[in-house]
Amino acid sequence: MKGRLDYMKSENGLRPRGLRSGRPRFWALALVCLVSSLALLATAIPAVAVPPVSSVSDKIMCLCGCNSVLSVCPHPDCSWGIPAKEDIKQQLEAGTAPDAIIAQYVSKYGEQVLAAPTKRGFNMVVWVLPFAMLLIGAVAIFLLARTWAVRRSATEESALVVPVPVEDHPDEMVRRMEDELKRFD
Amino acid sequence: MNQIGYTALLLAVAISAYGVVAPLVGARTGRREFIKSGERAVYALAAVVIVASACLLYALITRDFSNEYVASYTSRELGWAYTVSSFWAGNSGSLLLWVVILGAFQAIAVYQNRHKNRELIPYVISILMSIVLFFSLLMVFLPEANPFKVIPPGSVPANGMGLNPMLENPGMVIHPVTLYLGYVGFSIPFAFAMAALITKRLGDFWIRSTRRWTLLAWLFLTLGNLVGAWWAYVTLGWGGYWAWDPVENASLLPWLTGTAFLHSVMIQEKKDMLKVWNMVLIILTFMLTIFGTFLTRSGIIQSVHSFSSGRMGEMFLLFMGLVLAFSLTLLFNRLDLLKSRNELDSFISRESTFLLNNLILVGMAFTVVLGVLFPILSEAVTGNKVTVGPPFFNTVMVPLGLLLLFVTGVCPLIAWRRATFSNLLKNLIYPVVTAAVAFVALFALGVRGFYPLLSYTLSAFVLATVCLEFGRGAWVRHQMQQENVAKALVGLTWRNKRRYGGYIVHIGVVLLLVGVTGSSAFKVKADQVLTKGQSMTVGGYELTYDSFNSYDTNEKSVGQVTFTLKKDGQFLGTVTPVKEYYFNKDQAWTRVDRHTTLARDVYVSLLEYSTDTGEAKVEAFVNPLISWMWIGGFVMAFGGIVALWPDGRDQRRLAARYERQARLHEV
Repeated sequence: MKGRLDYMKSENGLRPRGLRSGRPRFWALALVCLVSSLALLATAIPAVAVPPVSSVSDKIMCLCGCNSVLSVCPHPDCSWGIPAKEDIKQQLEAGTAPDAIIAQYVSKYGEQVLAAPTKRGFNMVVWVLPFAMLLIGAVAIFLLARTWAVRRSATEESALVVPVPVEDHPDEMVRRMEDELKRFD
Repeated sequence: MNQIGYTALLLAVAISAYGVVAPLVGARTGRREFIKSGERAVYALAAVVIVASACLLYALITRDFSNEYVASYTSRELGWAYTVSSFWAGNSGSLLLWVVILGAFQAIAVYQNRHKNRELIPYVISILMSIVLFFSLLMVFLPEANPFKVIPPGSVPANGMGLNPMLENPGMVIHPVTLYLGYVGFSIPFAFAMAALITKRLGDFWIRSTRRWTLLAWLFLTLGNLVGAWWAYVTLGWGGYWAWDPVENASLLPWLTGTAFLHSVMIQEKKDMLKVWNMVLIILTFMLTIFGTFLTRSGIIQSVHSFSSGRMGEMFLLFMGLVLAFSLTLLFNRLDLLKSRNELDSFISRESTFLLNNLILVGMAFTVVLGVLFPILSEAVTGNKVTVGPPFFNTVMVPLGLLLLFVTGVCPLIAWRRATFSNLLKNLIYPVVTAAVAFVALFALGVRGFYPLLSYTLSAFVLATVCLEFGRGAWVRHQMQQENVAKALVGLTWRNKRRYGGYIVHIGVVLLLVGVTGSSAFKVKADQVLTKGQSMTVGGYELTYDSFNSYDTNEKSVGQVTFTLKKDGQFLGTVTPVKEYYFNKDQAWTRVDRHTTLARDVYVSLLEYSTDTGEAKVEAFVNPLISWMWIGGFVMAFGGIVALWPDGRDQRRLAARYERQARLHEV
């Protein structure tokens, strides 16, 4: 079957309109390159792999009562876990995304089916509190250690340094002060 | 025999009640005969709980199915080793195990202190006896906790239910006992700490007197956790060893705070600081040992490890509340006396790194407690049930663990009392260069991923610091005493057992982490249905289905498949995973098989099989470097034993202090 361009060429004795100028020729060439690149890429990239069952079973709990994540339920004949894993496998093979499967399970069994709390609302407490406590603890330790170190140096000074009147050694004092100030600079 | 056992328990209640009161009366009135009587009560209690335990053991071995506990956990088919281990397979037996260990421990502690710490001993006895009294009361008054509950004559079964197949593993013979030795072991330093608070003798005597008890408890808790992890690995069939189950977490908690305590007491010994903090840590550790037992028995949390029943949870909650109220009130009342002039010679000092170590360990413990209790908290606050499982713990605990590893590496490089930045930088050169070389080598070998790279780099750093410590010390000895390096190394360790034992423990921790990182970051898993002659590949290893065998015994139906294991066409060995079905319990169980080398485990589990077609569904894992986890555990235990080993010089120093103290007292 002839295309429109062929008719134009044969009936009017003219070259197809689109191919007359240099610019459209560039676009045609680019299109060919793109298509052939895509074709090459298609052969290079393997077909999209089905995600493993663990992409879902690591993130949801087994509800047989074992209190384990589904992927590690220790019951070989688990009445909840085995059908659930089979269901997940079938859905993944059918092309359902892992997140969509997880969402299904959450809507069916509630948030408790998730192996970890979501990061929103009151659940943020469990995610943030350990790090917040650690940070507060670290600041407290820093302040305490600094205070204790300062206290020690004060004790040492009061115990060891015999007060010397400034006027007795003015040059030495001035030199020390200058040294200290340089260090602060 | 059941009657004798129960009578022994009744006697235990009576003796422990007497043991709570008599020494207190003696201490308060100054009547020594009461204190002496309290001490004798300790030995008498040890004797009666040993008799009770012997009765239960006899009932188990002789298959006395008139005893409900025996009928529930043994059967005629059960081998002798597992018959013995069924002692602690259930709730009431494990309570008796707790009491018999505590009875023995307190008898040893009282005997050790027959000539020293005389002011503390009456209170130590009273506190320990209170714990025994609580556990004995549970066994005597709660039917579900009575190991000698008798089945009416007409209903005695001809055979018992048998042991849960999960528990028929050498790991389960060892794990509960070691764990309980650890749990119960912490009662001794706790009792001494409370006695020190009561008597206002708040120096470091109570710490020095119980240092070995603390180390022993820590050592057993370490072993208990590791053997538990090993048992989970070889038994549960999912290719891992730690699932952050609430009951697993419960055994980790006192280990974390106990480890913090072990480090923190060194500061009190050296600088007379952190007296309040050490009291808090030992109270926390003891409370967490009870909390673990409470979690297992309360039924508030579901777990494969739990045996919840009846009112026991309420009783434990009440006991924990009383202990907490008592210890905190006491601590609060003595705050003035516990005040020490806290001073650090320098901001940069080993003391500071110990504070940081304590912060991280307690932070980890806090995270675990929060994770365990958050579902209850969330339900109470929002009405919404949530689960806190491995994704949470891995997200939060892994960075904390790596931070701790870093501190473990830096700590030995900083001197006690005073260090300077320049000194620290100088000490850091070799470990940092080692870590950098390790990082580059790992990267060149193809290791990717932030956490694995960081974990191995930090491991190299810590290993380098510890080796540097050993190397420097040995070199000095070699130079000064003209010993060869090996002899110098042994001599050095022997002269400073506590310090170098601790470093050996750190080496063990590094090896353990090498295994943990390898087996979690680079694990490969595959599952497939195979028939005879077919093969599957997992992580470059080829498993070929060779043969199938199935048979029935009186108690179970067994199916086993033998696979040939090859790599690059080279024969490595065979593995034979088994699946069993227990008729009595209507329960299926898998017994995995492994091909183990230092580089990796090939771990094969038989999920399903068909006796008609021989078709088998198999799950296989390649767990790189996992053997190093168990080797690391052994090294940790060895280091613990070295640190625990009696040190003549240390004992003489302590004896001299006791003598001085006694003289002062006389004056």
